[in-house]
Amino acid sequence: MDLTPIWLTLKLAAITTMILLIVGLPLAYWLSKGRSIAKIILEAIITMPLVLPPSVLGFYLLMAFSPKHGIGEWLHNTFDIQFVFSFKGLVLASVIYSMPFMIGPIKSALQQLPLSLSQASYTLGKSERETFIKVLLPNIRASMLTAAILTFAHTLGEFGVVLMIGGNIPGVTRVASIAVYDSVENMDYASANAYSLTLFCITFIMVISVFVFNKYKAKSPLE
Amino acid sequence: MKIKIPFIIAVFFLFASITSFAQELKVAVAANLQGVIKALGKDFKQKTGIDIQPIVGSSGNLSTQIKNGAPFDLFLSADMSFPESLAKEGFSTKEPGVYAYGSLIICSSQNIGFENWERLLLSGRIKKIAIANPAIAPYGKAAEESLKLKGILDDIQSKIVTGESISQVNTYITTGTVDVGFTTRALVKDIEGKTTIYWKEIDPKSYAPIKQGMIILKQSKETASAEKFYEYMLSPAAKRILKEYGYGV
Amino acid sequence: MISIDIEKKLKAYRGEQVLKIEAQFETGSITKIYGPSGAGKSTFLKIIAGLIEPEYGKISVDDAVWLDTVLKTSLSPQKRKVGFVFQNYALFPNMTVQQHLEYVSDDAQWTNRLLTIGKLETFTSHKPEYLSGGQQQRLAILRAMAIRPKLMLMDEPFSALDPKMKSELIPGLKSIWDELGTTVLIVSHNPQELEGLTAREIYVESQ
Repeated sequence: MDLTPIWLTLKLAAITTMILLIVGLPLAYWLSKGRSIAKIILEAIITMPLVLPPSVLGFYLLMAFSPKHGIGEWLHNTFDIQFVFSFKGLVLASVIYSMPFMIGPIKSALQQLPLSLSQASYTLGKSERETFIKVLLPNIRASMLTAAILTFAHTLGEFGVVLMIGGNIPGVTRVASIAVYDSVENMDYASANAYSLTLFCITFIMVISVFVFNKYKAKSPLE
Repeated sequence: MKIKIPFIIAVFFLFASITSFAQELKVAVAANLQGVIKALGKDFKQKTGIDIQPIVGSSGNLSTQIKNGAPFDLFLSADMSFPESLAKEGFSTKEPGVYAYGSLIICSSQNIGFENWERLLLSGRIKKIAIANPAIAPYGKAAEESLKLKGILDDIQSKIVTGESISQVNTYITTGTVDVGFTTRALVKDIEGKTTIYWKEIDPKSYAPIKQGMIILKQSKETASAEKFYEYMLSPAAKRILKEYGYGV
Repeated sequence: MISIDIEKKLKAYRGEQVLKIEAQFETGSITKIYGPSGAGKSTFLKIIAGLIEPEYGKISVDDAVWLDTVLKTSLSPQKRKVGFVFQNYALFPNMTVQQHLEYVSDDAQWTNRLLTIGKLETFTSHKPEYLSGGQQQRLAILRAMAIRPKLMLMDEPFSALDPKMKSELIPGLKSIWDELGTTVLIVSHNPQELEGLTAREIYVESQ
């Protein structure tokens, strides 16, 4: 069995999760503080990938970044960068597709912290940034871990978006989920089974560990 | 933070383990070639040391992907019009060259008996018929032409299951999810020794010849190797292999 | 000298009420704030600390203007640096007793002095969940003291302490307040607890 799709899948999930941790934490924090119209709209947009068919998201990304026109054309001509049919494109698509899984639990957890925690920190002369890093984040560690694991596992399972914007380029965009599909098309059922079983085991272990971990913290992992 | 460090390590590890595919040729091949391309690739590697990575799909889908920037070096279509239109839009520098002629067969995983297949399709015995999407798969188009000529297309329309490529049609046929399907002659050699299928060649006069054309894509970064493969496809060695799989050369 | 004049709408269980207070506090004085439940005493303290904005208000501390809603100026709570003791303590679950004080000050001599006054020297590596209610409350007080505040706002700060503990703690706090010249406002329901400590009382009631 060619292991490349498995490595590609793990690489994609790891990079996506890291990017979402870096981008998602400040964003979740900002969203957790009060409800302006702008925040409500932004939160709705971020949540869209949860309900939108992945092929729709993939289609819009394909149209947006196709080197034939618009942004894609500009990127291609100026930087020789292409987001379609490339690993970069998959990362971009995954970040968008898995964002609600990172933002959701973290924002919830931040909102459940008593307001007086940050207030106390402010009266001690600490800036919002320092308060966020030293007081808030350490107290939502469980949710951060859950969010990261869910994001990772969710990215492992991407198919529709990847197919649309990544194609099926071996070694580049043929991630494990696509490799399963590809193997079936080639009537190579042995490989299809091997990839499927591997993906199933990895994701099952991750989901179980999230539930076990949260059992001891007495919280629903999906909040 | 404690969580980030394992991730960073994981990423470095994963980065290191992905092998580079820089020297390989990415050849987009129409689905009917999915079996023969493996044999051709092996022979080509033996002769030149160059690896090819086939990407299999329907000619139409591959053509669209190329227009949207897919990084292929060559495109082996199941017809002439897809590569011709790509050449016209500037995706290749030369007009497509013919590398093979395809043959259409009707086949099934059950031993039905195809002597009078036109009547067979109309009977209640046959509930599901697979053909490849005629818009994007030239073999599907050929099947449609043949059915139209025989005057039975309209009557069996409700039984037709469309596969998005010959690959999918082959899956339907070999797993028995359809009763019969129209596919490429090459399937017979593809599954030799693995599965049993029963088949018959469709009269070539009932459909326009399946002239299969190939082009080197302008965006290719491995033009020297691509040229070599193009020449190889026209060589006697390649023709011998293609003939084994039922193609006309 | 602290000058306060504020007006704030409160969402109380009796419907909407208005909290209106105009008062001055001498520098270095200790004042008790008392009144009916829900009157807005906690809100009053939070407004002074800059954690809540009133609809109308003017607060000045000596020559500095902390708040002027007419001129639209408001000093951030970080800059006001009031020692605030919350009614619910607001301790940081992730930090030990020692870390709470180190978060504020890296002067080891100073923090050790505070720990001694609060009798928490032997609990320095405990996190709040392993402290008793009384110990938690003492930590909340010490944390607020750690910034060497010029103004100290305390919301029911001794409710979990028994009389013996109080009699040991309060003199220690008082001596620091005298050193720093701290002005102190204490909200308390308990009629006797601040006897002898506070020079003055203010009754807060919202209408």
